[in-house]
Amino acid sequence: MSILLTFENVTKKFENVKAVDALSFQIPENKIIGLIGANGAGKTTSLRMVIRYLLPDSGNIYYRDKDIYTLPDTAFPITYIPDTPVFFEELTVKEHLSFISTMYQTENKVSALISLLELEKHLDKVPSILSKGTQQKLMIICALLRNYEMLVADEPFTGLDPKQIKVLKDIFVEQRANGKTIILSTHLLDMIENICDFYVMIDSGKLLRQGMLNEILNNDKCSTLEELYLYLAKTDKDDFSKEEIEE
Amino acid sequence: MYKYLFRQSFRASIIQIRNYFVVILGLIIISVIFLESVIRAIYSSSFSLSDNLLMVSVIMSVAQLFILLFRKVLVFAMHPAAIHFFFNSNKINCFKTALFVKKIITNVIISFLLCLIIFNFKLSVNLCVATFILWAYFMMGSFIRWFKYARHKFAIITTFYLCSSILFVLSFASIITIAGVPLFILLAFIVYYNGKVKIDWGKYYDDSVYANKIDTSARHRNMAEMQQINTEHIAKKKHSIRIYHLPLNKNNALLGKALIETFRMSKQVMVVLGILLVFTVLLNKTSIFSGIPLIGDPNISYVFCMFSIGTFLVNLREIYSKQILSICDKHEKGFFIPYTFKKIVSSYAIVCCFVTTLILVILCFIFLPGLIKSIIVLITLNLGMTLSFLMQSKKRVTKLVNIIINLIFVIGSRFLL
Repeated sequence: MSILLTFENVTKKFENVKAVDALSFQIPENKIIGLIGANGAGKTTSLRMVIRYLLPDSGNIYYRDKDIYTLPDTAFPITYIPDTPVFFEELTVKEHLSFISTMYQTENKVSALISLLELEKHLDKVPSILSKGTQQKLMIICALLRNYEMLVADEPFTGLDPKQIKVLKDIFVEQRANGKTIILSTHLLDMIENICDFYVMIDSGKLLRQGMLNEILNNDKCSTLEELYLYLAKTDKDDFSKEEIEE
Repeated sequence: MYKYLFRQSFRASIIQIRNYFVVILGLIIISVIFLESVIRAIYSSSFSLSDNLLMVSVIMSVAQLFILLFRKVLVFAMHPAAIHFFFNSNKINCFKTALFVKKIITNVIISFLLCLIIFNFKLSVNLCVATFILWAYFMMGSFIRWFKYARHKFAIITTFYLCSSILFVLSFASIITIAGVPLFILLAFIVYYNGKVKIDWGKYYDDSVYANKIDTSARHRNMAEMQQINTEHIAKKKHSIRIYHLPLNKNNALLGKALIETFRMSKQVMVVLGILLVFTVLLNKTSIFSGIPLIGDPNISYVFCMFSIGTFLVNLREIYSKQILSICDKHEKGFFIPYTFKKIVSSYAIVCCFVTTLILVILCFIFLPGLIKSIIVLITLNLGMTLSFLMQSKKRVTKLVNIIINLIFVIGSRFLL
């Protein structure tokens, strides 16, 4: 199993809060990886460091043994789907696709992706009038229009209905079959239990467990991911801070 | 690339014009009428801004300082979708260049228009030179704001501001015309230095998303969404003073809340209100505006001062009455608040009257109206304030009552002068 991405003692602070605390894990190639954690566990911060939005305060992130911050922009191999869709509000779906494909010179991919995600009837609409699921599909197409090896998706299932979730899962599985690596960050454990090959569990910015499903379940003698996560993250989370009470 | 960006901006502008057509038309008509009268007054008076370039340049430096300190809008605002789709690709540099060019053009237009006004709408070499110098100064202001956003050290920002302002005043006021050369050298240095600035892309992306959401909902006249986004944004703000820092009990809890809300009052509002008072003092106690038509006339300036102080007090009352109404509204909708309306109103009225008294006392020391007049002012205005709160809580404020209370503020301030 070759390693694609490595976090090595990565720490990221926001003022006095450690969002990621000496986090180390490895992501294998050509797998679907579930990055699991509760809200505020440090998932989005970790992903934002992977896509270079954020710089770690200490530690290193390697992509195929190269420091991720030294990779050239022209050949950056990671594409990203954010937790909240973001679009040019006044451009139609079709214009989005032709804009992005022209910029990345991937015009030949567009029609195949449109039919794969069944977006034909929405091509002349602006994104704001699309349903959440269709917006998410558009975000995925836009992400796939880059030349990439790794797809990073932050909470991709939030707000989607079961049918849309199934379509999305199929897309991720298909991408894996095409040799891509996918990281799915989520707190919805039941959503990813049947599609992920590898799991990274974090809580309060620290690594709890990483490995294949059977490995991590057997080690802690748990039967489900949910049980394992709750067992590992059983620290008292009911104590709200004073700030939270005031809000 | 530029085709799609242009299309996005063009459609956004069309939507904005369509949704705000009447407002825009009204603004244009008012501006034309106002500008026409200003231009007419400038031509007919002996006062000329171009003969007072030192004063103009100092005012502009002060305005630049205010913009630096209080303007929160992103100085180089990239569309969040552009950041998302093209970050980690060499295309992002094209977007940065587009932003930079846009800023250059905007600043050229603003500088030219300002210089046109300053030089009495007469095209000349001096006007061109002044436009050029003013443009350089505005560009520097934009970069300094960008450094401030990128959390540069206070010392660096202050140095850049002071150096650029001194060079600007010297060159613009024609004291040392040659100071324009180092001004441009400094601009070149700042542009070079800007290349070294590391952007916190995570923060920049989040701020762009917020700004864009507000813009979009405003453009589509979706005021409810706009307010919602703004409320969520404000809730995320970090505050140094929190309500649990105060020694609270049941009797003073609302007073504490009113105090906290006073501390958290929007800086922009405070600056605008402060400017109103400073303007009043300058108008009444100095001869700075004596040569200017209309406000230079002592009889008219007297009325201006009354209205300025009155507007200040009306706005102060509005700030607190909104907070009272918000609590009363929650109370009516079923949120359990163990206080009577009277108690809620009195808590806010105490804080509001305290702030009003504090400011009025300062104004009394400046305007020196005499002891009796000072007492009359303090009593009348505080009474008006309390009365308006009491009526507000009982929803008795009709338009007429509002006008009467506002008149009390304006007439009451007459005793100050």
